[in-house]
Amino acid sequence: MASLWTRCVDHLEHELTEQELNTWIRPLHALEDAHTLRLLAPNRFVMDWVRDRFLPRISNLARELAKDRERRVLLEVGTGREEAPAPPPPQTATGGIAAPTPGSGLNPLYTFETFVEGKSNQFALAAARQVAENPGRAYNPLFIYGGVGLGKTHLMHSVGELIQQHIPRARVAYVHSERFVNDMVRALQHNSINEFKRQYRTLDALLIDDIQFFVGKERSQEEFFHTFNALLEGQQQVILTCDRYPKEVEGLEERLKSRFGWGLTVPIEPPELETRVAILMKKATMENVALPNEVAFFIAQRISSNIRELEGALRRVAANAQFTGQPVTLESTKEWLKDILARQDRLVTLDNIQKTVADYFHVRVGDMLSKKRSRSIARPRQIAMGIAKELTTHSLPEIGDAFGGRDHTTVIHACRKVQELRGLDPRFDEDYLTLVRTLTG
Amino acid sequence: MTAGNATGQLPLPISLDQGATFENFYAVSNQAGVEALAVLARRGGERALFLWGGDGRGKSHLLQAACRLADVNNRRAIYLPMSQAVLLDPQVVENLDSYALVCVDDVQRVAGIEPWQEALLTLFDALSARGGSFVATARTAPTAIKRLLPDLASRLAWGPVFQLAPLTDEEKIIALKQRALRRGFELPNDAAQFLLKRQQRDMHTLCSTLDALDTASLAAQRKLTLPFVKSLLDKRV
Repeated sequence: MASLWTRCVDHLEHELTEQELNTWIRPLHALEDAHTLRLLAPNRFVMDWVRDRFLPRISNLARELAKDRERRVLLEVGTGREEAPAPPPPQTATGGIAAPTPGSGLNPLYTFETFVEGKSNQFALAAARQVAENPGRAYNPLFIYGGVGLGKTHLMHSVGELIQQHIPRARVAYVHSERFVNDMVRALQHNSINEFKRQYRTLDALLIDDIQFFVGKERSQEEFFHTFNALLEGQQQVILTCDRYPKEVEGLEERLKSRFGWGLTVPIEPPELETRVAILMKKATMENVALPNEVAFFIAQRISSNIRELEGALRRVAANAQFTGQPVTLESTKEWLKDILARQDRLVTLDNIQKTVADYFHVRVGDMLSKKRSRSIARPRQIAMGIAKELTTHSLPEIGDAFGGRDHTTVIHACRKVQELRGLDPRFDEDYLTLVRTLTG
Repeated sequence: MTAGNATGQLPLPISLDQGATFENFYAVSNQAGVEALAVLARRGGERALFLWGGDGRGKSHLLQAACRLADVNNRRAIYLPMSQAVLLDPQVVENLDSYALVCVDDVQRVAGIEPWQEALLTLFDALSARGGSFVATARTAPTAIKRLLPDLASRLAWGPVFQLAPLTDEEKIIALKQRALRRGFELPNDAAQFLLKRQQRDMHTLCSTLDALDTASLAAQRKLTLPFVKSLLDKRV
């Protein structure tokens, strides 16, 4: 006979909408014994919602359906992974609920072995290996920065994994900065900030991802500042990632920015074509996808924005190949990715590049095409030319022509200038990459 | 239109629609994406999967079908309609990394809402680290959603991304006739074509009209013929 909870859900299927069932009812984890039906909600919010809106009906149903004996319905917070009933939250000396413990949070899939080295990341990779071999001593903190989906998190986890392998008793914790903020807020609410401090400050290595999320959260920055100092003083390793160079993060306290520079700051750049091909081939091998070289080359050429999207395209090709039973060829790949490609083709026209760049810098397309040479117009024009050269197959004379009939040497100069400025000015580089990402969807 | 016609028979207060399943989804040109989602619901495998397309293409139906299928396979799943969830506190997604499948519908609704985007980002990473799958839908491809954190957009595009193509009018008629059969009646061709001519042609409107017509025909104890459909729709206007 089906369990009591299954029978309850069967009845509720006739009373509630499919959405209510899938959002609030089916996700509950049920544990039954002879006397009770324990329903576990993933968090307090869901528990309160279910208690207020559905619990009376569930209790009635359980009473009606469990004819043999009365069963008490209990609704609690829990994941169902605990074998025994969830213990009450530990109490601190002050009577508050203990702060959440940062688990290791390491993803075993992110290791040095699965990281593909290329020109764009070799400096960061070398530094990360050094830190993994000599935690707390090589470079502290190690600050890795670069755009999204370029492998910062992967590298950070790899260091944590290796430290853990070499020193099994080491306490390593990977925490996204948003989680750090949430844990701290909860610790403050529960009057357990001292416990929170202790948890974080006794780690052997703390890995904090995406510290740009600290921006504007002053109390968190303050707390993090002290945690950071305590760890560095104790020669415990700190690794941080961010989407930009530390000095460029607006809204972050100066003293934090300055301390981030005490160790080593390393960039990860978008991978060049050869590395993108190598990444695709490696992923394909790991997942047993027969990926011909020319297809890897084709995908890598068309998707240049970041590695996640590159992987996404590969996953999609693999899913289609599996579904249709067809081999992966250049033709089938073009068919399977046609909406991505069509979208790119639509976006990456000279007209659209000019419009997108002009909108981004709040100038008029007409001005960009005019003879005006003021910096506020010339810079966007040069960027647009640089992007046109990178993303389209138009010849340099064609590009020059599209920009108010300019000579191809002007285009060459613009491209060189853009390259130079990207190396010198991180903000300029970020503007450039944002525009490329926008245009390549 | 209601069934509460003074002279009509009151229809039974039970739902004849068996809920959202893969079986009652008319996939036609979207089979690869639909099949990939079904495989994911049954046994996992991808850290992410993304379906996108305009309204009425079946995004919500598919996510709910995935939750149901996961549940049948003893895999815990949860459906989060962001159009409603954004009105709630982001705490609602705490600890959802303990699930095998998290289905986030209309993820474009978090655009510009930083606390929600950060919460989804954290959930994605935690879920992925535990081997769970994050499935999301939106009207556009992930990287085309405006005011979305690049960190979140790139994660959404990490798995296979499928565009759901709209049904042609002929396919909509087939889909409506199949829906009618599942509800236990036959929809004549001319009545189906009439529906397409007279109604908004998105599948939401067409299906809800069909369901309302079915209820009315039960109440009136009449078959859904073209004249009957015409008279019912005229009354609605």
